[in-house]
Amino acid sequence: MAAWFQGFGNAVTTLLKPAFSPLDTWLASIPMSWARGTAALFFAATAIWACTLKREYVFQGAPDTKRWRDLRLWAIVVLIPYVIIYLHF
Amino acid sequence: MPGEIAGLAIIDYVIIMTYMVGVLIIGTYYGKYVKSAGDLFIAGKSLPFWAIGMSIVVTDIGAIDFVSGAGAAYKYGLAQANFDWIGSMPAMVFAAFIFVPYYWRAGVFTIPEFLGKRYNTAVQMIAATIWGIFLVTMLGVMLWTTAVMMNTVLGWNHQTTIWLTAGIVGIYTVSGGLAAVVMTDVIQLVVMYVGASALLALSFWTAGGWHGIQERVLALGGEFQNHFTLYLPHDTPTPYPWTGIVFGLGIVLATAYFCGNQAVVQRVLGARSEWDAKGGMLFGGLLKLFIPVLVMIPGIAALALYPGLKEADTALPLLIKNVLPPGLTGLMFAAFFAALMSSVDSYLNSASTLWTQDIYGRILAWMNREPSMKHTLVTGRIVTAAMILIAGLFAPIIDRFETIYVAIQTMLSMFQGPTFAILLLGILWKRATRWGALAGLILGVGSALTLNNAKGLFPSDSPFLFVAWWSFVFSLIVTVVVSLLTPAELPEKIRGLVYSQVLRDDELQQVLKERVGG
Repeated sequence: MAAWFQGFGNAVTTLLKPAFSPLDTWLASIPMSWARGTAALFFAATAIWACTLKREYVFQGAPDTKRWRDLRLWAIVVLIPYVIIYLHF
Repeated sequence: MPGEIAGLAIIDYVIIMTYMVGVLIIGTYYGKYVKSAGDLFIAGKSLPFWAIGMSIVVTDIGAIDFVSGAGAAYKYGLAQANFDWIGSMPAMVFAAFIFVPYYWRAGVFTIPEFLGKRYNTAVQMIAATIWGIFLVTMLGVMLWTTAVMMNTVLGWNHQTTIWLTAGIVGIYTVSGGLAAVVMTDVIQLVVMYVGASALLALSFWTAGGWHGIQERVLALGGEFQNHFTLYLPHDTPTPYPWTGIVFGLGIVLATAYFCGNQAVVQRVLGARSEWDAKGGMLFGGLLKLFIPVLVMIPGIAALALYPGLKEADTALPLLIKNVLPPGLTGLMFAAFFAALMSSVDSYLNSASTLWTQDIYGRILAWMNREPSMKHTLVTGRIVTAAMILIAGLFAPIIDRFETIYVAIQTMLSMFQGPTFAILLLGILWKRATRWGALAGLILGVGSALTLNNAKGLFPSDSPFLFVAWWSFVFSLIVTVVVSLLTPAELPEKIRGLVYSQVLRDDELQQVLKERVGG
C-alpha cells in the first residue's frame, strides 16, 4: 500500500513539477520586505473588516451596549501589536 | 538517575504536589453542578468570556510545546514564533465573528453535528470518526511524549507520569465535565504564565538582556543570521518558508484549527451568551501574543548561553537547571504539568463528546431509540473514563513508532484543509450541497495523501504547510463544482446556518436589533 502511494506520489510530482517550478522561482524572487508587508497588511485588513460589522451583530448577547463591550474595538486592540511585530521583525 | 538533566529539591516537590492536589479539588468541586449531558459537554452554557479565552490558550499549548517550541527556536530562531502569532491571530478574529456565532445559534455540541445539520448524516459521521480517532490518538501521544520528557529531565518512571496525569485529569473531567476542564484551565494558565515568566526574566538576566542575546547569537556565524527574522525565504531548507507560513499556516491550518477543531470550539459552545463566545475567542488571541515571548525567547537565550547542543530539545531543561533556583524550578515543572493537563483534559472532554453525541447518538437514532437525559449523562461519563484508560494503555505503544509525533502532525495537516474547506463553504455559500461537501471531503483527504507522497514537488523536506494549502484549494474546487451540478438545499433546511442568508434576512435582523436595543 505504502509503495503504491509512493509510486502514485512520484507520478504526481512528474505531472505537476512543470507547473510548480516557475511558481517556485517567482516566489523565491519576492523580497522579504514585501513578504513582511503582506503579513502586516493581512492583519490590518482583518481589523478594517471587523470595523465594518454591524453594531447589533457585534453586541448580540451582551448584557448592555457599553463602549468596552464593542468587540470591534477588541479586534483592533488585539491586532495592532501583531501589525507592529510583523513590520519590525 | 540515568539521563537526568535537572534535579528537584524538596521545596520543588512540595510545589508540584500542592498544584496537583489543588487542581484535583477544584476540578471535582464542579461535579455537583453536572445534572445532564449538556452540563457535562458544554457546561450548561454558563462560561464567561475570560475563562473561555484562557482555556483556549492552554488547550493549544501542551508541555511538549514548551520543550520542542524552545528547541525549535534554538535551532531555527524567531521563525518558530509564527506558529503562535500568524498561526492564531487573524484566524481567531474570523472564528469570533464568522464561525462561532453560527455554531452557537445552531445549538450544537460538536462541529460534526453542525456539519450534519448543514449537509447530511454521512458528512457528520465521516468528520466525527476522523476527529474521534485523532483526538484519542493525540491523548496517547501527549501522555507518552511528556512521560519521555519527564524521564529524560527528572529520571521519573514513564508509567508514573502517565498514570499520575491520567488519574488526576480523568477524575475531574469525568466528574465535572467541561466546567471543571475550563476552570482548572484558568488556574493552569496562571501557573504556566508565572512559571514561564520567571524563566524568561532569569534567562534574560543571565544572557545580558535582549541586546546581549542578539550579540552572542549573531557572533556564532552565518548560520544564525536569520535567527531574529520572522520570515525565511521561500527556498529555505528549514520547514518554515514564508510562503508556507502565510498560505499553509496563516490561511488554512490556523483558521481550520480555531474554527474547526472540536477541542477549541467546544469552549465557545459552552459560553453563557453569544457575546461571551465571540469575546472569549478575541481575548484568547490577546493572550496568545505572549506565548512566543514566554516559550521561544528562552530557547534563543539558551542558544546564546549554551551554543552547540547536539539535541536542541535539551535547551530548555538545561536553562531550567542552570538559571532557576529551588522553588522556581518546582514552579516551572508545575507549569509543565499544567500545560500537559490542560491539553489532555480538553482533548478528553471533546473526544468523549464526539463519541457519545455524534457516533453513539447516531447509532441510537438509526435504531429509533431516544435516550433519556440520565442515560446520555452516564454514557458520557463512561466514555470519558474509557477514553483516558485507552489513552494511558495506548501511550507506551507510541515508543515503537519513532516518527509517530511527526506522523500525527502530518495527519492533522491532511484532513484539516478539506474539513475546513467544506465548513467554510457551508457557512459562507448557501449553494453548497451535501453531495458537494461529501465529494470535497473524501477527494480532499485523498489529494492530501497524494501530495504528501509527492517527493520533490515542494522546496521543503517537510512540506506539510504546502500540503495543507493545496488540499484545501482542491477540496474547495471539488465542493463548488459538485454543488453546482447537484440540486440546491431547501432554504428552510439551511435557515440561520449560512452567513449571507442571515445578513439578508430582514426578520432575523429585526430580532437582533430589538435584542440589542439599537
